[in-house]
Amino acid sequence: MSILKVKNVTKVYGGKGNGAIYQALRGISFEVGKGEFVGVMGPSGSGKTTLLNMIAGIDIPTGGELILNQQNLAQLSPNELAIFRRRQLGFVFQDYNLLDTLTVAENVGLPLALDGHKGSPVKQRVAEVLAYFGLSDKMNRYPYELSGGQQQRTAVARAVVHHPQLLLADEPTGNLDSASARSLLELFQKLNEERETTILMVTHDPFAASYCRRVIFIKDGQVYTQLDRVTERQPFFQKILDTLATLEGNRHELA
Amino acid sequence: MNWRKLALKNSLGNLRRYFGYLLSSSASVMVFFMFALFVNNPAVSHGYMHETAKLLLQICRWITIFFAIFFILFFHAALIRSRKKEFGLFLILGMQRSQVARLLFYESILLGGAAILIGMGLGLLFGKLFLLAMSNLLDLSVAIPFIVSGKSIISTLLLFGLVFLLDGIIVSLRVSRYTPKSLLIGGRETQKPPRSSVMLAVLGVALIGSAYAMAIYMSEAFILNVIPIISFTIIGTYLVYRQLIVFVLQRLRRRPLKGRSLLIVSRMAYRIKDQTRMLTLITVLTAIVLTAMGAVYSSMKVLNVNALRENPFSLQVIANEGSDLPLSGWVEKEMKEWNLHIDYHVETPLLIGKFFKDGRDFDTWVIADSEFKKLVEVVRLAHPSIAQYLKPEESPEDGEAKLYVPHPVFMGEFAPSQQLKLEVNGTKRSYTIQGQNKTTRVINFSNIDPYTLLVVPDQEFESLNGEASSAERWRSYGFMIAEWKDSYPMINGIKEELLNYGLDEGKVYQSDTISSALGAQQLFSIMLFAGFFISILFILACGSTIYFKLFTQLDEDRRQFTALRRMGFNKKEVSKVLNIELLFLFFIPFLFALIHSYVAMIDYDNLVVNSISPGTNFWFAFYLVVFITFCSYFIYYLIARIRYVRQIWQ
Repeated sequence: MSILKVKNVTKVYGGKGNGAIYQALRGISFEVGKGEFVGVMGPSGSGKTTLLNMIAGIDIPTGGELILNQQNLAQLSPNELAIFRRRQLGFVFQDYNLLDTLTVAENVGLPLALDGHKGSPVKQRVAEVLAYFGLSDKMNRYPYELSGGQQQRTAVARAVVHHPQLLLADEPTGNLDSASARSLLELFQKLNEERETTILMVTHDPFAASYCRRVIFIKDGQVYTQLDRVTERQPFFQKILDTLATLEGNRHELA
Repeated sequence: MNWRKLALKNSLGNLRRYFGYLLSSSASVMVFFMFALFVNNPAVSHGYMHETAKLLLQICRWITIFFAIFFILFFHAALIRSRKKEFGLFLILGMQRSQVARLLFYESILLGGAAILIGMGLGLLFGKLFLLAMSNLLDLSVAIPFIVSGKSIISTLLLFGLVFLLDGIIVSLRVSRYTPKSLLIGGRETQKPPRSSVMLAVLGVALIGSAYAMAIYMSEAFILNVIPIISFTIIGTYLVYRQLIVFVLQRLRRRPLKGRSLLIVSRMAYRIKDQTRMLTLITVLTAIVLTAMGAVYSSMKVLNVNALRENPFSLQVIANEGSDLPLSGWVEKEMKEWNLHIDYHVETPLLIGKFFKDGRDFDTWVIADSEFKKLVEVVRLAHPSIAQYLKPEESPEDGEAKLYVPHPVFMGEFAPSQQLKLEVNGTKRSYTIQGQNKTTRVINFSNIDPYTLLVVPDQEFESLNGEASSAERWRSYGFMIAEWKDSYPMINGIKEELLNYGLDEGKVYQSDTISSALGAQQLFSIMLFAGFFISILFILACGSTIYFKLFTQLDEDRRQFTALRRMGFNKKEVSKVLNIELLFLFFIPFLFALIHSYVAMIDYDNLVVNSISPGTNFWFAFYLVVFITFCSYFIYYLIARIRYVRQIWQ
């Protein structure tokens, strides 16, 4: 069963008044099934972030359809979209986006609180998630007291606390050192394997992508190719590098 | 843990960011409340205070509230902009726009309520001090009782309640228009490199130059050129920041610069480009404060001299020849009672005549030349401090007369050279006058009607006196009291006696130096005091605005400097860079404002001081105000520096 269907989506920027038309997406199509861990890769300017914004309902496609959990996003009003995001989606950003003014536990509980839940069930749920992420002892700390890796793990905990249908991650390892990045990716893998969380991760880091079970490569606003991971991670990483090399010619730079 | 509680907690957590805002709005509430307490104090509203002074305080109150509206809205909107990311996150997490708007509305109301409470609390705390200061300024023998009137509380609550309600509505409407994209993911704004045009830079300099030239060399045309001067200065200031300074900074970058200088120059170019509007606003506001305070303070000095010049006689009574005033007896009695001494006592016969101008007739005093000279001599001897303004006068020839008018600046050419027809008891006579004479005043100005004086040759006066009706023949009694500064109670005694002789009915006139001196002093003490308060408020606003604007850059700077440290920049170097930037941000507007207000003071000098009492040195007052402002900015700068550098590394 597919959670996300992207059908021939296009996105055009500019045009009206400010002259230069820029086509970010030129008819892109793919599907993400339940329980999958999919990576989206591509060089800068290939349309990765635009795509993610549209899946999140933050940006509206110029053409094509986006169907998330049997719901066509174009048919939702801004308020319905807000509720949809609140219940069905989780987000992880490159720069964490935690609220400095709230503690770790409060940050994590925010999506539940937003949906009107309160009291001990919330506390319990937050405590459970924090324990799963190894952050129990940090629950009353403030974000600035944590390391980057811990902040990012808090952000992931916040993204999954309400059991979203789909977890969207935008360059989640971009700001982390390699050890923290590795542990975050292992966490994603664990979430995916143990809890069957569906994850869509946009990245330009081949090492991060090698943790996915499937990688979609996009170039110039179109799907260029896809790779399925059938082997161990290491050979998959090599395959990704090879694909990137052909994708970007010889200009490819590592990480 | 519901979201409202979280939102509230989040707002409380943001208090640090809101500290400056809360402080400034509390200060506005406090100032307004203190003015209200004072004006509504029954002891004040039923006496003690000059009507004009009361009006002045009311005006100050309204200035405070207008300022508060403008400042609160502006400041809060800027704060909200700095929290864009947070609202973006709320929207991404699925909060509805209406919920975000409501949240912001509650938050604004909460902050506003806090500001009102803090402001009124501080107002109560300092209210007593304010009253003491005021009693002192007004020279009251009894202290004004400290009374908190319901009217002041209600008016403050109501007005500021409305202001904060308005603020809440505006802020929440603004936020509800945000989209998550503009706020968060798509909102990683790329800064466009600052560009500048030589043409506009030159235009800016030219505008300021012409405004200055108009102010310095064409002061007389004040009414005509005041609007061009102000608008040229504001637009010129904007262009100098946006074009000239950016241009210079960009030019500097073309030369090979060392790492630190390069960093400073390039960052400043961006900062100034982004904050041109704020810098312009601050410059103009500071210039207004400096000029206004300088002008108020110096007018006080001018007016002190003026009290003597306007009303040279410590006591002057002018009564009809027919009225039998036992004045000498009263004066003697009062002198003894209050232990005062009379230096000079002159009696002068006067006539009231009519002269014609532009089809209207004006009453005037008529005096014989020798009597006039006698009066001038008395004034000169009694008040050496104003002797310089009493120039030796030439006597009028036969067929000539000399006309003296008060306030020659404002009355302009009241009587140009011409034939002047004077009517006494129905007969008209014609005199040649050589324009109007300005500086010599020997009849007090206050409370005496008419206010012009016609000097005629002695024989001419004799002949006029022969023709005049008894109603036209008057007599002036002038007294110079050695201790005129302490003569207020004695003057009041005389006034009381005069009431029985028709003081209120125009049958007798009374005038003195001390009343007008006290009135002027009171007026200007209050202007100074109220002006001081409002200036503090403005300077607080300017300082907080720069301070706050600075902190909106914090995240960006933190990222930049962390990156720089990885490249081998050490903390000390970063502090140096920031230090220079902060110095520029705080003191460029100050310096610019200083130049503006210096020019304005020259204009003021030309226009007011030189024509009323030349040679009055008011620059000391101006420099004092400049110094106080400088100190306030310096304190802001120090705090900003310490806190900013500390937070960069947090």
